[in-house]
Amino acid sequence: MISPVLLFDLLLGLSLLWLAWRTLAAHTLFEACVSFIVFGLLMALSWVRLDAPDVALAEAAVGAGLTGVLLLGALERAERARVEAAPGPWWRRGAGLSALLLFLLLAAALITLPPRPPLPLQEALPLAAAEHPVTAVLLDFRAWDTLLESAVLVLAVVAAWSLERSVSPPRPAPVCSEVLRSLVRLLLPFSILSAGYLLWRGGHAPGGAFQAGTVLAAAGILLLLSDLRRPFDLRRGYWPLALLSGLLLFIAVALGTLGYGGTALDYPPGGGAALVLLLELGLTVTIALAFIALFSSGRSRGDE
Amino acid sequence: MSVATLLALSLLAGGLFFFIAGTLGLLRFPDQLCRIHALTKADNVGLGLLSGSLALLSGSWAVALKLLLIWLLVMAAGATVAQLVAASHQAGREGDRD
Repeated sequence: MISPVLLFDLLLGLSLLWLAWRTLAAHTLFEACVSFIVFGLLMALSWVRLDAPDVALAEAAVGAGLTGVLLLGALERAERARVEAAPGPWWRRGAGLSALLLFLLLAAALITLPPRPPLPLQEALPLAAAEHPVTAVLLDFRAWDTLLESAVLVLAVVAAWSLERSVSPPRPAPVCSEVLRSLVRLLLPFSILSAGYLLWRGGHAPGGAFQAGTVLAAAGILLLLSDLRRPFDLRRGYWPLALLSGLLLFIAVALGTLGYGGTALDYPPGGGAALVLLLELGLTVTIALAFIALFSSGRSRGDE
Repeated sequence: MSVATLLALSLLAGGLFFFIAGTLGLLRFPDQLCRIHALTKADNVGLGLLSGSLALLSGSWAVALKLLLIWLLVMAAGATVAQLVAASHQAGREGDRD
C-alpha cells in the first residue's frame, strides 16, 4: 500500500517530466512558454516538498513568474518582427544532444566526486551574521558568490541594452484595460508591503533580497503593462545609479571590511547583522530594477 | 469526529467538486468564453471552500486570516485575468472580421 504522500510526490515528479516533455515537443512556441511556466510552478511545489521554502519562493517568483514574462515578451517581439523564431530540426537536435552531454558530464562528476565530510554549517551558524542558514550562506559565508551574482545581473542588463536597437521594432500601443488598472492600483501597496516584509524576514526565516526584489519587479512590470505610468528609460537620470546600488554597496562593504579587518566581506563582530540588512536592501533595489530593465528594454516608445 | 472537522471535510468535498467541475468545463466546453466561465467558478468558489476548510482544520486565527487574504487576492487576480483573456479573445475576433 503506497502512502498518499508518496503517491502525491510520485504524481508531482511524473507531471514535471511530462511538462518538460510538453515544453520541448510543443507545436507552437506559445504552448512551449505556457508549459514552461506551469513547469516552474510545479517545480516550486517540489521544492516545498523537499523542505526548501527559500528555493521554492525563488523558483515560483523568478523561474515561473519573471522568466515566463520575459519569454512571452520575447515571443511577442519575435512575432512582431516576423523573425523565424522556431529553430530548425538540426538546431533542436544539436541543442538536445549538447544538453544530454552536459547532463552526463555533470552526473559523472557528481558520481566520481570523492566523498566529503558534511559541511559544518550547523556548528558555524552561531558565528554567522544572520540566523537563517540560507541568508547566512548567501550573505556571510559565501558573500563573494552573491557579489559576483549581482554583477552578472547588471551585466545582463547592459547586454540587453546594447542589443536593444538591433533586435527591437517599435512597440505598438499597449492594450489598456481599466480592469487591469484597478487591480494594479489595489495590488501595488500590498506588493511594496510584502517586499519590505520579505526583506526584513530574510534575516531569520525564508525570504530575503531575491524574493523581495522579484515582488517589487513584478509590481513595476504590472505598472508598465497597465500603462498607469509612462514607460521610463532606466538609462537616464539617477536610475543607472539605483540599478547599480546593490553592487556598489557590496563593493563598498568589501573594501571597508578589507581595510578594517584585513579580509574582504569578513564582517566586524556585532556589526554583521546591520551590514547584511544593508546589503540585502541594496540587492533588492538592484534585482528589482534589473528585472524591470530586462522586461522593458525595447518597450520604451521612441516618440515620447 | 468533532463538528468542526466534519464541517471542514464537507467544505473540502465541496471545494473539490467545484475544482473538478471547473477542470471538466475547461477541457470539454466548446469555446474560449465558456471555458473562462468554468475556470472562474473553480477559482472563486472552489478556492473559497478549500481555504475555509483549511482554516477550520488549522484551528488558528492567524492562519485563517492569511488564508482569507490569499483567497481574496486570488479572486481579484483571477477575475482580472479572466476579463483580460476575454478582452483579447474579443479583440482577436473583431480583427478577423475586418
